[in-house]
Amino acid sequence: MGMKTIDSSKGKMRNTYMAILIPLGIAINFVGGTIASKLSLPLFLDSIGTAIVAAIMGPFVGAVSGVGFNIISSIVNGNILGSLFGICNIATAFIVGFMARADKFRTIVHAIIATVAVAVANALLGAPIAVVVYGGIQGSGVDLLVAGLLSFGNDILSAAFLARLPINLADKGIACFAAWLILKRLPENMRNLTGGKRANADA
Amino acid sequence: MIQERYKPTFLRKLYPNTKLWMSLGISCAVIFFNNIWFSLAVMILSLIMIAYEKYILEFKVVSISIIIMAVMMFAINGTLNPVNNYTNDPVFILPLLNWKFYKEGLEYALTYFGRIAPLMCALFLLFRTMNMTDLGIGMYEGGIPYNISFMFISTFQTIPILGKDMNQIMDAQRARGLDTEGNLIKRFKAFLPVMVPVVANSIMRVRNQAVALETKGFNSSAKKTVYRDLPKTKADHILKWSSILLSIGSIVYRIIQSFF
Repeated sequence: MGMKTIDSSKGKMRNTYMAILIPLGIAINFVGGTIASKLSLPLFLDSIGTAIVAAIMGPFVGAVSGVGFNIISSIVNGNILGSLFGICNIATAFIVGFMARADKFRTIVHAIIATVAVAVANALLGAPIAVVVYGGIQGSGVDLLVAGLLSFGNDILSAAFLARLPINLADKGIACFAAWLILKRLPENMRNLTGGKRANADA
Repeated sequence: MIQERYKPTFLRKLYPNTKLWMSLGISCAVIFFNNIWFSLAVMILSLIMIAYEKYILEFKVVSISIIIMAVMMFAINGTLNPVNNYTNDPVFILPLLNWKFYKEGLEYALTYFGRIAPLMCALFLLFRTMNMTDLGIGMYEGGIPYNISFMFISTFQTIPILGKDMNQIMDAQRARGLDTEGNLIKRFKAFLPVMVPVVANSIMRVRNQAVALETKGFNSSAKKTVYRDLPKTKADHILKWSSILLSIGSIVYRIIQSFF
């Protein structure tokens, strides 16, 4: 088969794969969000694509895909300030991408460690952004939790942070776990795009 | 697929890059002037233009999210925000529920609402009247590398394809007995059986797409030409430079204001 001669980890072909996988990551993020809202789940689930692209193409490509998703979804929804949440997606992509590059995204223990790290990073970064952009209340399900915490006498920033912690744990947890499940099912030659030492040694 | 053709109104005839500059100018002005009357003017003007361009039906989704955001923001900030001065009398008390609304929290909510809602209306209008393929080509002609503008256009083409896949897979899994309307746990369990095939399918296609792109000379270093011809008019130049001036002016205004 002629197709086997195409090596995706080398120079020019890597560009082509990037040009396909970045839009694909953005689209998977979108579809994840759509499925979550179709099943009326109380979560966003819109960082699965970022995690998958970061795991197969390396952290930087994943980060581009994550930021691209936030910019394009803010174009579609018209809420341009929401693209600041792209910083959260950069964190997700870096954590998953560097773990995959170091070959630490294989067993279920790795998946759980990645889940917790991603959740904490997203809560840490998401709360200040939500306070700067929306003043802490953004018009979604998280707000009810924020209101509850405010009534216990927390200030806005800590209420926004504490409310996002459990929700991010479930949200990004499922995203990370789904990325891990899908990666396990990928054909062997598609897993080798991580841009780590192996790929550079070939080039 | 059937593609709708819209009547070429003034906003539709603008060069796509001009609208990018305009959205930058409006965003800078709304955020940095931080004036509720200016925000209100932007919001009303965009609502009138949305009605004129006949986007009322599509705007309904955005307007619902704006209304939900407004209710949440004013209710939670007005009653519970720590900036409230609880020793003062509340502005008003909601009958039956006995929720007390305070002035400071309502003002806090108004600041943030005045930043977000007008931008949502104005940018909805600007981006909805824009063809995304035209925007990609405009970006390429404006000097952005071909790879990046290709990714941009490709994203808007990939999303509907995956959406179609998703609907098919969801129907197929339902036909096999997947419960998508049960209680919360059942719905959670239904997520992965839909998501995994969508992603796996699309990643299987990547190799074929790479081959197709390669045969069409994606990596060729020759200069790419575009088929679409986008005219630039005088109005484009005027709007572009006035929005650049507006954004610079608003930043300068903000800097001066913070010093005095």
